[in-house]
Amino acid sequence: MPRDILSDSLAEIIVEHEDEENWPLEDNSSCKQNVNKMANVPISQQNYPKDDCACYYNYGLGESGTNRQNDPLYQYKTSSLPAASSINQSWDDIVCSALRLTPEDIANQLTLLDVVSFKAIRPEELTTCGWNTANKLAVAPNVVAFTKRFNRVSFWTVQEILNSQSPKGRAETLAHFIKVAKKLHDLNNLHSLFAIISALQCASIYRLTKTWACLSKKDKQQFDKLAELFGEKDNWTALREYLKSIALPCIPFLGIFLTDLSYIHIAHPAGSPHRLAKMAVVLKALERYQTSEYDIVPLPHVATYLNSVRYIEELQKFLEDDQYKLSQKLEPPSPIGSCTGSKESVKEVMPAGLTTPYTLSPSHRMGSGSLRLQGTYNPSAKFIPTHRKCRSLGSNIFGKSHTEEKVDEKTPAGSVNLLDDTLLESPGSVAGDKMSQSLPHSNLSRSEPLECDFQGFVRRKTITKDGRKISLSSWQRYWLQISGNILVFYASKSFKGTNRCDFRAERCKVLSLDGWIATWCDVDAADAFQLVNHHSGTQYKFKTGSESAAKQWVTKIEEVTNKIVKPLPANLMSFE
Amino acid sequence: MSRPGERPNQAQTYKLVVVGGGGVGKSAITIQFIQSYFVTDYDPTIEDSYTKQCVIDDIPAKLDILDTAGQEEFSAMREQYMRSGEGFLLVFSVADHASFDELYKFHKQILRVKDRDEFPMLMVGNKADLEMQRVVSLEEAQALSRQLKVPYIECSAKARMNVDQAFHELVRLVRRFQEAERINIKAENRSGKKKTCAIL
Repeated sequence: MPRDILSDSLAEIIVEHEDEENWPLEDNSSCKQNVNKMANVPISQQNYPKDDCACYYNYGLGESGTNRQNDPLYQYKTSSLPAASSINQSWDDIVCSALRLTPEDIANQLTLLDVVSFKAIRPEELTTCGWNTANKLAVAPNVVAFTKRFNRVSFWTVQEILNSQSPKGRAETLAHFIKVAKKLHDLNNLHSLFAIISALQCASIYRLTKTWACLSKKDKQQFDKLAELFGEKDNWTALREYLKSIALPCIPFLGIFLTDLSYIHIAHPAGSPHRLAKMAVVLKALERYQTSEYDIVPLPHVATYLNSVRYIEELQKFLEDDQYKLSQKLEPPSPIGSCTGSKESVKEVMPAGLTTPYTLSPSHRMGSGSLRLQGTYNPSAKFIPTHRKCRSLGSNIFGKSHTEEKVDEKTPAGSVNLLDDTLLESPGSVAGDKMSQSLPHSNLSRSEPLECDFQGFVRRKTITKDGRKISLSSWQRYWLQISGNILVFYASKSFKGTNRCDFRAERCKVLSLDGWIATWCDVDAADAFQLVNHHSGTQYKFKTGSESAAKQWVTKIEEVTNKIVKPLPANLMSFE
Repeated sequence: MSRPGERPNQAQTYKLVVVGGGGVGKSAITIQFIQSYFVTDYDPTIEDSYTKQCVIDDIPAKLDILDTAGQEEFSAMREQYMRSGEGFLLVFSVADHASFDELYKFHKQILRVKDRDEFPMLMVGNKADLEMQRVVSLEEAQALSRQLKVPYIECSAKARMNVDQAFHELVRLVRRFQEAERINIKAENRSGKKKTCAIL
């Protein structure tokens, strides 16, 4: 049923469903627990008022999905789930959140809805060039309807992301939509794809630095790649070229065609000889796309959910204002007015600068694994707010700024500190010094009795093991520590984070450095070093995030291995 | 970013964005500016159909103009393309009050996207040749101009009046703004330096 979102709280989009007891099973384990908990409760006491069981109730209003299991209402629901066999059936009525649908289903059903709307557009709606005038509904109703679909998909994407309270939760939804976008890309549905990409680049989402920082590198790269396609650079060249390169079925982004028609309309006014021919070129291209057929099975429950996103068009700007306010509430604007990584990190690190000197900037945490210690730039100097140059000049703060080049570009070795004109040390050496001087005992003594000579975040990849080359080896994240002549590994708790606290307290591997040789890789992979044991035929590669950190590791490991007194082999002894 | 004087042979590129409601004449302004006259084989789909080299105040500049005429209703994508702009023409038609009322919204949206309190923008009242159909008076436009702290210029794409001036004036605003930015950063660096010197 179409709904006017405005009549609900913005943070709450309630979708009609017949029976809230058909709440889909989300987590088997929690369900089992709840069943146990509820086992003793008489059925009569489980009568919660129906009205409280709004299916979207876990959205907005301070409720995040993760708290749900503590919620008696949720326990009630999960405990009263229908038998597994009927769960699939129950989905028909109760789809209510994007996260509950697979990216594939969302992309497929969006495409089915889009293609119908796209095919309805008639050539005469376009030739009159009246789709943006006051009587657009009369002149170009199907163009207007198709455009509305774009705006609604975009609006829905923003709203779904903002519905989560925590940056992590928002990043989860964000990643989900990036996956939807990827599927749409695979389907050649550039219309909804661009709608989602636009949503992720609108101010309300773009500004959520903490959320973006929680996103995996892979998803971020995927997003960057897709966003590049819709760059307006050189008159949308990327998009135009891409459109030319793909085969049907395809739902193009109508916007550029409308722009082209607008220009023809102005450059060749009615009656001019070239007008019709020029317009015909555009119309013919669109007509070809309109022959697209998608072989997709319709899923009515998904379509119903997707169609439930409705609002009064005239109020769109107010709704967008509300989304922006919500965005600011979720991640309040930085008081020092900064968007660049370094400033952000100063803000984050300065207050705790002395206790956790190795905190990385949130925006750098994931991509580079850089050991750059922003808090140590000039801990005694007061932070001076500067203008948000980076943003104002249109540079991309996510994606590119997380890459290593960017980090290095901002603080090349020996560059000048923007704050006080002092010469900066190269990031890595700062990292190394700080690590060896101030880390060892303060933070780790509680959980880790081992004495630590040197430590830091690394990513490790196994190149060869026992003489065999490992072909499907991936980069693993570890907190690495040199303790005596032992290398201690601590496994990471999550997919991101480069601080000690992001890794487990108990060690997961130990490696005696005896027999190992550390070498700095080379200029091509300057931030990496290798650890080779020729005896066992094992070779590991470690990425540290900076050249100097890699070199520091090599030096430290060499110090250790040089100290190891090698007992002379027994057979050699006999010769002497 | 290239700076004037830094690379004498290469003009700095300015990314200018033309915003405004549907039917205010954005594309007419852009075409008038890009093409000195209407050419019959004008092709809007090619790469460089929106760029123009010119000399403004004796300094060469390459203007890269983004005009989304026809896409006004795709409001959800607006913030994305606004982000890349270095200067904005806020265009309305003096013969259409609704288009004038929309300027406030565009202005606010640009500042939001840029996350700033001010940004290089120029208010452009188009169709100034239609004196008989004018519904937005000069005074009214000037009042909004003062309120938004955005300079105002009236032009007519049809009569080719003040079109070049509008773009040139916007480039001047962008230059002034970027210069102020550089000075600000230098000033901050200097104030930081003083502290270091005191220690020395």
